[in-house]
Order: sequence, then C-alpha cells, then structure tokens
Amino acid sequence: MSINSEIAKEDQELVLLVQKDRNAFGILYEKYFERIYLFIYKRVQDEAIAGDICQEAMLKAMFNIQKYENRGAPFSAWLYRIASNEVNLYFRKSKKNITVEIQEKDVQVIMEEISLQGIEDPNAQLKLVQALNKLTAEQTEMIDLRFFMGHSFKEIAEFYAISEANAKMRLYRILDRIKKGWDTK
Amino acid sequence: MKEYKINNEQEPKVPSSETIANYKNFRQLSHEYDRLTKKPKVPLYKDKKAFLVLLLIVLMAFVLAQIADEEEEQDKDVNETTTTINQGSE
Repeated sequence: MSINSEIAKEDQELVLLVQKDRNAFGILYEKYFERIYLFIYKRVQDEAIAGDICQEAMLKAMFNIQKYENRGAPFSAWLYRIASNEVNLYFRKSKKNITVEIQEKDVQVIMEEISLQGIEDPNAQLKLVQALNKLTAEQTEMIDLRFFMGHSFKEIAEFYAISEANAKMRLYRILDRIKKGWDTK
Repeated sequence: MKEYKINNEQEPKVPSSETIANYKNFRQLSHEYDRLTKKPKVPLYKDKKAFLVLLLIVLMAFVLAQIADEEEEQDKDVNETTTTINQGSE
C-alpha cells in the first residue's frame, strides 16, 4: 500500500469517528490546521486574516462533516475547497481592494505558457497583471492554484473533484481568454 | 476585491510554525460550535424574561379580542335600534 493510500484510509477512519463523535474533530483539526492555514495565507497574505478565515473554514468543516462522502478524492481536498470558498467569500465581501503580491518569475511562467511576447519587459508583465485583475474570483482561484501556489493538475483535479483533463481544459480556457484579449489590444 | 501586484524585491514570507500555532485554538472552535448548535438549556416558558414577554403577548391578544367583541356588540345594538325605529315609523 502506498503512503498516499494509507493517509487516505487513515483520514476516512477519522472521518467516520468524527461522524459518530464530533469531539474527535480535534484530531483532524490538529492534523490539518497548519496546512490549511498556509494555503489560506498564500492567497490572502495576511497572518491575522488567514487565522480568522482558517478558524471559519474549520468551523464549516465541523458543521458539514456529517454530510461528507468519500468519492475517491483525499479528505484534505474537501478541506482545501472549504477554505478556498471562504477566501473567495472574503475577497468578494471586502469593500477595499486587497493587494496580493506575486513574483515576477511566476508572471513570466504564465506568459511563457500562453506564448506571449516580452517576457522580460516590465510593461508586458504589468499588462498581464492588469488582465489577471479583470478575472473573476473563481477564475483567479484556478490561476492561484496552478501558477502562484504551484499545485499539480492532479491536485487541482482533486480539489475541484473533477478529472485531470477537465482541470487542464478549465485552466487553458482562462488562459485563452487572456491571450485573446492580449491580441486584440 | 483582489488585486495582483508584482513584487521584485523580496521573496514571499512564510509564517513560522510558532506563528501559526498562535492562531490554532480548538477549544475556541468547539465552544463556537456549541454556541451555534446547542438549544438553550432553559425552556422558553421557564425563562423569566421570555415568560414575561409571552404573558404580555397573551394579555395584549386578550385585550384586543375584548375590544373587538365590544365593538361587534355595539354595532349589533345600533343595527337593532335602527330596525326598531324603522318598523315604528312604518
């Protein structure tokens, strides 16, 4: 048995335990808090806000764990999705603009991926950032996961509970939209 | 609203495990869960304040019903008197 399947089995056993006795949620909380916190932190880049969102996401997980069904994806994917929904909600609710810093090299990777000219040109990079800022919260979530947080397509597929091919299709549809907008300007 | 900005100067900071531990509090989470899910321990009719509010509502309803009854009876009396007067004049 591989390590991943052992972890999945252990998680499923824990979930069953929590479904019978909710106090056992503490074990899952201890196991996943740091990972979920870091996932949220990478998206909001504020320690205190990440802490609040993480507690809120864990509370939602505790409320909904009775409804959780094992559909093959790891339990952690379910937790990450709850956390990400909370982050999207935070961005949508916030009245002021929240600045999220990204690395130049990550911007260059996106430019390379969609074969854009002027990878080294700061103006071209700024133009891409402006195009990213026009995307919806759900679209930027996909961009964040792939380019700024470095998740594999397999992980993204598990996150959305879709196939890997579907995850690739969704991402490239967003990138295509950016490229079309780029070419027409 | 979220806005991206390129940062060329420094590598992104990652909070340490100690910092993250400051935000970890299962007791608080559990307390919050209980607060949101558990029913009040004292039944509504045994809660003094709730009982007084309920009593006030029942009294108001009683008074309103009495007033409505009285008005109905007065209307009946007026109608009967009018009919008697009309019959007398005929």
